[in-house]
Amino acid sequence: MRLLRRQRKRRVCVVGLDGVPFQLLKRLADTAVMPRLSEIIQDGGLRQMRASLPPVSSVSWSCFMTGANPAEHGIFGFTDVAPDSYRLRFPTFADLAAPTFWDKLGESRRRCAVINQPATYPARPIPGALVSGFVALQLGKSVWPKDHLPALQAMGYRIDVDLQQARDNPDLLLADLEATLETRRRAARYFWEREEWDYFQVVVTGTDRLQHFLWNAVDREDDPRHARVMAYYRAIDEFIGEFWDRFRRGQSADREGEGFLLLSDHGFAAVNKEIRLNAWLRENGYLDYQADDPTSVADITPATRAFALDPGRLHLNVKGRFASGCVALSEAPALRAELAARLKEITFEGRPVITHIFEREQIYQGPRTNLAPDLVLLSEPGFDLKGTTKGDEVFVDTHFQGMHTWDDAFVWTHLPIPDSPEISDLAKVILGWMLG
Amino acid sequence: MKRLVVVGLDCLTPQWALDAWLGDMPNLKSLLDRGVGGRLRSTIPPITVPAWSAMMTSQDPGMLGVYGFRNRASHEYDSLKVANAASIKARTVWNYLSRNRLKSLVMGVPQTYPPKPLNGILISGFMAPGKDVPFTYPDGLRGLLDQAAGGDYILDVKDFRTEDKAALLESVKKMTQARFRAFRALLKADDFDFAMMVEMGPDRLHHGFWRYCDPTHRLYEAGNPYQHVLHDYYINLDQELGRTMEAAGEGASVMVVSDHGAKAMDGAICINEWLQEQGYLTLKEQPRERTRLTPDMIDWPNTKAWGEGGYYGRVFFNVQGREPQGCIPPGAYEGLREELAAKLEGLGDEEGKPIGTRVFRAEQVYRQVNNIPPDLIVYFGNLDWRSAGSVGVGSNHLRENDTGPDDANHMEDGVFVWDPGADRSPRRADLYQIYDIAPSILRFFDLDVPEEMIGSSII
Amino acid sequence: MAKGFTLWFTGLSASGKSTLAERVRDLLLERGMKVEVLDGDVVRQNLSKGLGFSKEDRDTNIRRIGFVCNLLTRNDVVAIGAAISPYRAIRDENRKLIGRFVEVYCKCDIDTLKNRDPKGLYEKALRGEIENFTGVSDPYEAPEKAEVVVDTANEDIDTSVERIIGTLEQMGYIPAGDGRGYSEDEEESIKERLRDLGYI
Repeated sequence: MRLLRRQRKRRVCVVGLDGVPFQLLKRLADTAVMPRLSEIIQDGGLRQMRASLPPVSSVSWSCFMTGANPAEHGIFGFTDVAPDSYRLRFPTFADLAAPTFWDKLGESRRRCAVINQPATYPARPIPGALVSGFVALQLGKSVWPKDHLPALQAMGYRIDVDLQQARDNPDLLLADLEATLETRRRAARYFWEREEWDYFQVVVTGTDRLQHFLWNAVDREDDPRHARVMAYYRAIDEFIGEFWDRFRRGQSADREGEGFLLLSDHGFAAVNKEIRLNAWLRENGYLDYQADDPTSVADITPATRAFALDPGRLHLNVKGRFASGCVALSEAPALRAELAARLKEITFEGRPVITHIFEREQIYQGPRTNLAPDLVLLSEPGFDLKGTTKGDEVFVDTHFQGMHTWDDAFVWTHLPIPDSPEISDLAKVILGWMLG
Repeated sequence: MKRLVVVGLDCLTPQWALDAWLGDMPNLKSLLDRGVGGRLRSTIPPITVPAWSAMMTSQDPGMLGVYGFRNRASHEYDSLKVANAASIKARTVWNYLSRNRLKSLVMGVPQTYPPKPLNGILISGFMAPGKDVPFTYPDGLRGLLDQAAGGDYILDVKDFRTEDKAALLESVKKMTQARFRAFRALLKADDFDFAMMVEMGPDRLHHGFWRYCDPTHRLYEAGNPYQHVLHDYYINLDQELGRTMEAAGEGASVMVVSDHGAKAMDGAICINEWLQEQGYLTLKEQPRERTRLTPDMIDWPNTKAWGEGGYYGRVFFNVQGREPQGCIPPGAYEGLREELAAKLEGLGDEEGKPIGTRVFRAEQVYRQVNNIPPDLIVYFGNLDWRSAGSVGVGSNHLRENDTGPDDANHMEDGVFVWDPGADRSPRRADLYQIYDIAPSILRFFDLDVPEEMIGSSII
Repeated sequence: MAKGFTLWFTGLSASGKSTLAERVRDLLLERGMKVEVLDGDVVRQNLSKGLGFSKEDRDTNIRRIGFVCNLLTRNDVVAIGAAISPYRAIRDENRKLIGRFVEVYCKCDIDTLKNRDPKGLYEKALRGEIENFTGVSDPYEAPEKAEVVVDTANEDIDTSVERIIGTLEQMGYIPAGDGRGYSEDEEESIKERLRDLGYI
């Protein structure tokens, strides 16, 4: 009697490590801080990967989950500016203007379990189950379907660490990170076992938090907290290892770990100074405020020609685009060129600090290109571009130890991916493999 | 052209407007004679917020998720937040009218700040922080409004719980006059299909002057100088009503409505003193004098319940897994509610004589329970007594209010009078429901009553 | 700032254009805006009475609707066009004429449309009783850069409407309403969190 081999649906498991840069990951694997990782990445391709522009989690994960660029999905940063009032607004998951690949999987009757990915709050129905990630305010609005809420509450699920404490109390931060990782693990196990899934994704965001506050301890062996920090990465290694093992147990031999992905959404580097772009714009006559103590770009004067949003986004105050726009559409290209030339000349102790100045048409294609910032800037690692309206000084010290970087995120998988990948390439790869 | 004008008079009370003083109010009487009228049963609780919103949306407080002026935003101990227009997600009657291209003038309806767009004009109610914030839709109508009011449109009087009665009276009269003037002027400025105003004056005066005007109030003294204040004010309101009926134009239908009534207040029950006495509430330290109770004063691990002051009583429970330092095991919650409800119902006055307290549970009186309701809703003495939240009083009873002079409590029935027009056959009754107003307004304009409205049209 | 704009729904018959157009119209009316809908079926009873379904006639019909939308738009009225408008070039002509133009592509797979077939037209067209029927015997050129794409076969109406309104708010055509986005308190919390992490 011949046994018919049933065609099994292909499964994918993604473990995200928010903000972990390529070089750090390699080092952690090579120095046996993360031995399971080291073993896993022996085969398959570990590649450096470009994040979104700008390289912040809400944009990068939006590019990941839609496979599209910001001019298609509409998320350009953690903040955006309302064209009528110039007030800051905070995009939600409902503002994502392109479908997620989870929805596309649903169209082909596949189910997804997604846990803790940034830019998915408030939770809305996806084909499967969703637990929102940063910036999730209330657990009650972070879970879909709601039936899972009691279980998450019972296991003490935590969305994030206590950020207020983090700054002043590194030891408390580390304890908090460990505790939060533990609840993340519990939740991941819960959904792994309980949900009928074809696609599973869990993101560890603690790495980003740790690196913002304690990059020195991550980077330098002589830092007093280095050992404890390495222990945290070791705990993450065990996390990865657990789900790697679980994933392979669920597959046939000839698909050993093929659908497993590890990735980060942007890189990281040490930071020395903040560059306050609005202060620079004001110094150079492009911007002014109509309040003594401006709280946001809503306080700019109508004569302002350009203003900045975090991180490194420059908008021209164009007529027809903004309610009090003063720059005619025809003047915009020349103004952009002028700004780009002058920004390139910004130096700190004699060295230029702006490394890239992208015009929006270079990096964005889609229906919302005209909502995009006119210019997106990247800076030398060590200098963090800021959109704050506070202060007159352009270069300012910061208590943070780490900042985001653009081109050194990482991705590891057996699946075929482009040689020089961008995070928005992955959706197509995953869909292609699962549905192909 | 069909036009409907609604004159809202906050707290106008039926025992006077529809009974004792109706004979002195010819305009109201003529409306009643031509149309229908009666008592209007308010929300549980019968408080300005959420009663007006409930009236305008035909949704009960549980559906709206608003149980009073201040509501718990979370289960944290210090989470009382003031409700405003943003708290109301349900559609109001003017939203429906706008959808149907009908134009509305909405002036002074409580809980309409910050202002939301509509087809027409909206002037926020008395809780707007002042006139120097955007309190109108469209923006920038302050100048027009002040001019229409005859100089100065007044959102609310400064502090109605004051000892300076003469000043209070003056300011309420000015406010009332300004509002009616502004309403009539704006009414003529455009072809509104629907125009509604709410005047807060009656509520302010009831609270300030009840003891001087109601012979049954225990502090009443015959022959006092303010004896006729309320009666004269009601006559004044009727005159304003008459002028407004004229301004409304031929063929316009006029409705007079209030969100709840008023009655004499016997005193206050110090709910937190009583809870301590009964062993449900423990303070870290006994205060030496009367003080407002704040969360930091409470010994939470040893506290099962605490209360809030107001015209009605609210009791909140400290539940494990729900409140941060909860001590009531979830299984014991219902039992404790029953126990406490029974004790509250048996509450007596200083001599121990039961005052007839009523206790409600949100899930029993509302169709839905959204946001965080009080664990128990209490009408002390069926609202003959108010609730005082202070501690350090030394007694469970206080024969005055702990937040300033206030002689009247709310009563669960307001006033409803309407002449919908000759061909409308309105339902006749002695008692109407506050939820019937919005459906009636929609039916007046021949619009369908949406499913989510819980009341039924009177025509 | 100019208040009028044109919202253009395009898609095959029964793809949901009229339904969505009406829902959006009602929401905008509620917000106090002036709105008019020019529905292809209705327009063919008056402005375009007598026009058929040849390419020439279709183009004339769409140009007429575009012409009126332009008049409304420049007078601060929101004009909502809902018509199959199968030819890209003509839709783009309207876009160029009007400027403040937002295209909504009502995407729907042919099987779902055949199942819906509320006016029995697909059945007739498939039997050959109707000629020049878009999607069966006449072409439909899908938009390549519509501002909003709603997949009416897979998305429920409320979600589609929310996305359309959201797009209009994001693009600054209508002021931000409440209910979307965060409350004031929530915004404060978010600002705090972003500040704590140095993101703002």
